[in-house]
Amino acid sequence: MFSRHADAQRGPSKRRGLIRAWRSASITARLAILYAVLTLAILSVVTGLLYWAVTVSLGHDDQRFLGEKVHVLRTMLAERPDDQALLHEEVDWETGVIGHARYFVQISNGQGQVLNQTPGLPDSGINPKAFPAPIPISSTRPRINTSQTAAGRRYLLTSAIARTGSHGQQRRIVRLAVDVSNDERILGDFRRIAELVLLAGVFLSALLGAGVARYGLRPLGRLARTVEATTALRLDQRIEPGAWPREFVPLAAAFNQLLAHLEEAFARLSGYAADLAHELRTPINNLMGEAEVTLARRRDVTDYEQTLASNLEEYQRLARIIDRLLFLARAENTAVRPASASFDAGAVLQDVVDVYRPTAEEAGLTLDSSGHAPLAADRDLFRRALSNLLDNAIRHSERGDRIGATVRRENDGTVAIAIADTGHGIAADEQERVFDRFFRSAADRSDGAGSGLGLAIVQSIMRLHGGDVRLTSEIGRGTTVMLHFPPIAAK
Amino acid sequence: MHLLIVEDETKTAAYLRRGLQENGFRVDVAANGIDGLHRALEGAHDLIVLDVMLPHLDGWHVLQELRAAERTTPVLLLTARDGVDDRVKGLEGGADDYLVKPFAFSELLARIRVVLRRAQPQSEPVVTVADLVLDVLTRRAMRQEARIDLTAREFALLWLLMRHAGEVLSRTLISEKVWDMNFDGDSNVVEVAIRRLRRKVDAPFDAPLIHTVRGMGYVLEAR
Repeated sequence: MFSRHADAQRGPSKRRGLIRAWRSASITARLAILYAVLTLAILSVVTGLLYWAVTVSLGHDDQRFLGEKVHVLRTMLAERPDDQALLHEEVDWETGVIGHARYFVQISNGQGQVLNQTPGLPDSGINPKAFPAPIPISSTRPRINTSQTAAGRRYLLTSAIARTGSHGQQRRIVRLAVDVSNDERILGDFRRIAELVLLAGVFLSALLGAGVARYGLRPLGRLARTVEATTALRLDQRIEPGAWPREFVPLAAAFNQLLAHLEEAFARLSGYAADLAHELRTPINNLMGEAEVTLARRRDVTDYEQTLASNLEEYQRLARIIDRLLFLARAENTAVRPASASFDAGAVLQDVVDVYRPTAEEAGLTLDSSGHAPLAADRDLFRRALSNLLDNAIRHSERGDRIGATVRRENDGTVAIAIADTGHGIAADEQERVFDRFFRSAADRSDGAGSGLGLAIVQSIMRLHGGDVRLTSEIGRGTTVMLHFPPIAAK
Repeated sequence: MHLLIVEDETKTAAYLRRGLQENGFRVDVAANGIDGLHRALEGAHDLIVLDVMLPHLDGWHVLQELRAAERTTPVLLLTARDGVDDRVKGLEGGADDYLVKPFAFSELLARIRVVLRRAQPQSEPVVTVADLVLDVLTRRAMRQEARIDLTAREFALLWLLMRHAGEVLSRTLISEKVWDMNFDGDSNVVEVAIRRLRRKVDAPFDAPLIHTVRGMGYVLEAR
């Protein structure tokens, strides 16, 4: 049975294991991981945006540079067609910036014959066919191609049509190539730095996150120590609710409540143990005394028989106490659910009343029952509760008194059973204790009747059914006990 | 009738043996589960009184092994716990009845007899004790040719006493059989019923048949 159960549990995937691992991970570790993930996300977005902005900006610069150069060369060719020196300077020298050619210029005539070009161009490895088609004279926006040379350099290429000659009658083709390898290097550097920043950021934030979490959780440790000290000391200690972060106030309050419950339960338990000891003392005292007195001298057989019979009565008393205490103990174990059957509460009540009618008649009492209501409950326990109540009612009434037992179904579906007598009644100060174990009224104690467990058993039975029992009484007027069973649907 | 008692408590085993022997039973005693099971499988007992809490092999297992070996010997379980689970577990496991400790010896004796009788054919529809005759079919009671009027409960009570004539029946057993309930309070329901029955069955006649056995219960017999 058990192993089959375990097999069924094995089915659900690894995911549940991971979830459980995450749930049981320390808060510090969880916060550190969360901080790291968040930092990674934020830094990735920011550096990504920056990278994008730099790329766009560099692209713009190169485009503008090419546009300007096209404009300058066109102007020179148009305005100063004969100024070869200026052209030479522009083509040969302007280009040679810091060691190597930043850009190349080539000017050719309409037939493809090269007239001027920057000296490094043929050796640069740029494929002449990679240049885009020249833009017409009317256009100022350069068409751009890129070219990757065998030497690993990257160029932006453009070409444009220009006019020259005294009347602008001659067509020239201007080709420009810009070395943008530097841009690549800058972007590469940027990427490396971004990676470093990301890595360091994640690491730092995890570290700081752990620190912050540890600092933030310090009151929890303090609370744990306080709780430890409180419980170790005494149950009547409480946690001061004011001295804690607001988040802990409900926890402290809940803990105080738990302590209060525990204290109450402990008090009840020790009171109960004292009562039990007292309750056992009487029969055991009788047993010891009788046995001692009987054994003190030789007697005839009848005396021995008398003693043994009397002993037997005491043993039975002990056995009854044990029996009822076991019942109460079991009823308080919430794992025990009463069996549920549907029956007419009125019919069962009638039945139990019939059992007690002879006893009531002998005591000179009238005993009646009335009413009907469908009830879902444990029939045996219901009968047990009723018989306890009727027994009490009969014992606490005088000749001529009346006992009425009624069943009624309330509008909300509650089934109410009332056992009302016109007997002695219970004093107000004793009423709240009648459901306590071993409690007996002053009158009961003097005549030694009852075990003091009857009403406790009734209360247990009602609790098992999710219902309750209430008692109203007035000295000299009688007692009414009401049982309430909750509506069937509400259970 | 041959009984086997499986009980590890020496004092309990001793008084059970003595009490049952004095009531005409042959009694074997085993002090632990293994020994008990062995004897139960070897011997031909009419009934086994089996304690649940036993060293080595507990009563549940003894019962289980016994039934697994297809032995139908009636078993009366003695349990220390008054749990409903225990009752269900015991009866489902093949026990014929059970008693919760502490129990009265008269209770045990009565239950042993009930279980043993169960195996025998149904009792006669007419029971006679001395000059008292009870006819279950016509639901009529006669004593010395005089008809006795009884209520249904009184009839059930008298029938129980007559079927077990000569046996002491405890209040618990009587309330269970006649009213189908256990009374919590120190209720005198049984006493009142017996008193009323006496008024009808014994009072008009010379020799009383219903007797009180102090501390134990009631017995119907001609004395």
